[in-house]
Amino acid sequence: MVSEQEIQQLVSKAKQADESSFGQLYDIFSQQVFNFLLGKLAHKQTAEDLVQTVFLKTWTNLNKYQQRPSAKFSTWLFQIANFTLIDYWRAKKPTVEINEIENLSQFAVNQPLYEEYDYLWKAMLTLPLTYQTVLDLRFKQDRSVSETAKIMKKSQVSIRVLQHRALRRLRQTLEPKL
Amino acid sequence: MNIFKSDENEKLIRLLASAQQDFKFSQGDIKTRLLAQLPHAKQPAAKQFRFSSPLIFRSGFFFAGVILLVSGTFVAASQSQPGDKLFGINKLRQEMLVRLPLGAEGKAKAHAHLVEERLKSLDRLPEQAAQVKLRQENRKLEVIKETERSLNQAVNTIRKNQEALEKKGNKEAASRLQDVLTTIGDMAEKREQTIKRIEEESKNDTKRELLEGHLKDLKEARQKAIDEGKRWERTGN
Repeated sequence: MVSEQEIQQLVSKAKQADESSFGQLYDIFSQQVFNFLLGKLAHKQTAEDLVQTVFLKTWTNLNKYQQRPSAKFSTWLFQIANFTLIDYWRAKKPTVEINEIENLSQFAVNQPLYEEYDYLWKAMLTLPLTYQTVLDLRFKQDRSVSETAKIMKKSQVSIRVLQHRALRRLRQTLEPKL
Repeated sequence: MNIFKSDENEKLIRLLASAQQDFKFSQGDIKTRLLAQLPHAKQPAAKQFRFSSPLIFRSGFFFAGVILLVSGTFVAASQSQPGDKLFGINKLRQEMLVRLPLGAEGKAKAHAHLVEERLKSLDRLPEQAAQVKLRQENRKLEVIKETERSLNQAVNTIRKNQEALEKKGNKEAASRLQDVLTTIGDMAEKREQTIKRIEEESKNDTKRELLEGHLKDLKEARQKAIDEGKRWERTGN
């Protein structure tokens, strides 16, 4: 587990155009970013392309990130990831091609675990993107309301309301299975 | 009861947390591609000042600046007197003051205040006139000093260069310098009336002695310029 202090040191070096430090930041966060994107896209190739886009945007905008104890780098990174995802959905045609949805169990590190919760993943995919995002950040990644609010650029009250609605919708979808 | 934390929700939250897992992806390949792109994707220079909400902050600063400027002008204008550049604003302020919906006594006091301000301005007139006179005298002194200095400098420099050219036998170039010197001499000669007028006007000046000293120097410099201009003609060089 890398401490926030070590991350901040890597960010400082990356801000001085140190590519190796930026590479280390990629090693630390790329898996989390990929999980976040794949859960909503359900398409490995697209998620991989977006991971690259997210880190490229992070690199080009690194000087805009202000290092403060209250502003974690990962929060800023996930803010970029979230808005990259939103931009992708906006630019994409509203209908989803059937061949673009993959069975994610083949990519799961723990395949039996994925299959055990397959119904949950499928139910999550039926929710609106904001609901998926708030549930992912709050409960899969265990981020605080404040961090989630910063990532989604919403107020903390909005996040609590969104979280409540998302849980209610998910519960309704899963009702027969719970 | 916390509506956000019902038992059903707690169960669902635990389910979401336990279902969390990593997915395999081409982490190494993406990193290689990404690092290859980094040198071409330049980082923009860091901004010293950055507003989280630029429009709101910039508008806020703009309006604060305008308010500060207007109130500052009004404060500065409140001390102005008739004849000053800002007196128009002060007059406007005073007009507004007397037009306020005050009672008869209030209006009378406002008018009395205005009259008091005008009378104070009147009291300050002799003092201000003295200050203006002093400023004019200082300016006169400076102009005379600078004229004398530049005249002397011009004559000395040209004369020195002329002598050097004469020694080298370059009479043509020396003659051209003489033309300049003659022009300076002519200009100085024409200023005789001006110098006399300044002398007349300065009889009552507080710095008369100082002024006379500089006028004397100026006259000498002027004479020197005239003499040098005529010297060439006399010697036939």
